[in-house]
Amino acid sequence: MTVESPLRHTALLASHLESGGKIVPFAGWEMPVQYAGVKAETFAVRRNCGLFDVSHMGQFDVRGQGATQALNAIVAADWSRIRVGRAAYALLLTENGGVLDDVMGYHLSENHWLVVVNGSRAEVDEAHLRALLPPHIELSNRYQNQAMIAVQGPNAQSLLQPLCDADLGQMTLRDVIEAEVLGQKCVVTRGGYTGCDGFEWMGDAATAPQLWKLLLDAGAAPCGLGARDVLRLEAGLPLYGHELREDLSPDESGVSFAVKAEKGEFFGREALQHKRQSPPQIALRGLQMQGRAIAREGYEIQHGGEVVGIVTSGSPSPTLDANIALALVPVELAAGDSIEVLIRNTPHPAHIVALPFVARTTKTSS
Amino acid sequence: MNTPPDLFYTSSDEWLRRESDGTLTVGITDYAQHELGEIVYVELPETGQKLGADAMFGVVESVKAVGELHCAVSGEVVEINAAATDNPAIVNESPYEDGWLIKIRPDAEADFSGLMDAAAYAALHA
Repeated sequence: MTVESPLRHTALLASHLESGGKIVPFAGWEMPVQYAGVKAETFAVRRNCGLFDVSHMGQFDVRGQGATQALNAIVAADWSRIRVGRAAYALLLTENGGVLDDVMGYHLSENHWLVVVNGSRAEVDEAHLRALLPPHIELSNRYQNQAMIAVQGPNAQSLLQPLCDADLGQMTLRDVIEAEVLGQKCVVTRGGYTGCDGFEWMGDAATAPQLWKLLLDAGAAPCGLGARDVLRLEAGLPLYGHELREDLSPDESGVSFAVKAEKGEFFGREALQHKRQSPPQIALRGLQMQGRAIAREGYEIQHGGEVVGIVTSGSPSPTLDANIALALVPVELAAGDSIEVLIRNTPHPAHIVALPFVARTTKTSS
Repeated sequence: MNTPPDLFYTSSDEWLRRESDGTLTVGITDYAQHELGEIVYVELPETGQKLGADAMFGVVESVKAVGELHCAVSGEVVEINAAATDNPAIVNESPYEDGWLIKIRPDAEADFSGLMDAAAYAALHA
């Protein structure tokens, strides 16, 4: 028999139900997949402001003398260059040089980082970090009390500012501060996972419902995981379990920019360097369908009458009014080339296009 | 959930209506369109295509979901609703009328035992 562990829920479940959210199981949590509809929520983020409950993401405080160096020996990015008050993207690699997860690190003070990881990988990542961090570096998982809200869209700053004691206008992409929101200590960072300007709030679970309600009252739209996935796809951002996998190297997944092999030793480096002795055979590319049929994850890619690749994520793009996808294809296929996606045994033409599909509107300078 | 009493239903959330000319009109239920959300793509078979009772005859897709279509009765496709493929939103707006999908002529030996009446279908999603 199968024993299913009960689903966990965030501090915002009642808020989601009140707003008409459709709740689905995701990464062991009960999460809202949509409210008004994926298209409407996508447009709300692109044109105004949308709220995402991302409290299911793993949040780990890593503290201790030399925390930066200790983390830098694990991640494939160079976090020794990330000063206090800045956030950084990084990959955790497997010992075989595959991708264990992609994470964000928030450098809160000299010897304190907050590491935020995918909800579906939180347990794996925690075990990985605990095994590799030296004993004097303390890792504590915030899961008992964690909440995280992404406030995304061109009006994110004006909606969040009245609730926050810090001057959000001073922040640019990947700045992070410890501030007070609704009088409660929290972490605020400028960024997100939508390709749009926005902020992420990480704070106590007890504060989350009130913050959520005040932002809704101010005009933000509640948005679910469906719109979040569409927005990240439009922005050409990879997702763990789809583009990022243990059996793919960062080069194959299109995230080689996040590997700083020249920085020195880090976990998985040796295996990755070994792989890099021969050039990668496959690459992650963007596709745009020529007709109305929708490419979905797992559909095969044909070129010259042969199956040569596979779709890793695919969806209609409300912003482009076109059907887009990310796919693993032979590395020689590049933007401008034509391929076919096999949809229910019928080949449908598509073009390979440059990424991102939709230009990012993040606030990279003040 | 709107479940008209004069229709037959499948466990996979299609409805069928017996027309006076002996054909069956097939669509998806109000429950199905609501579960899918905003429908953005409809793919239907060609007229003349023969369908087995268990065959998938097309899809209705929302941004995030693919709904496969089955009609539970074997027969030949005699008409498709081009309005639904041209404007998939009508399947949400009018699942039992303007948003119908195909008409089939059931085989002489077609088996209708896989269909439910409205009460049984409503109980399925109660």
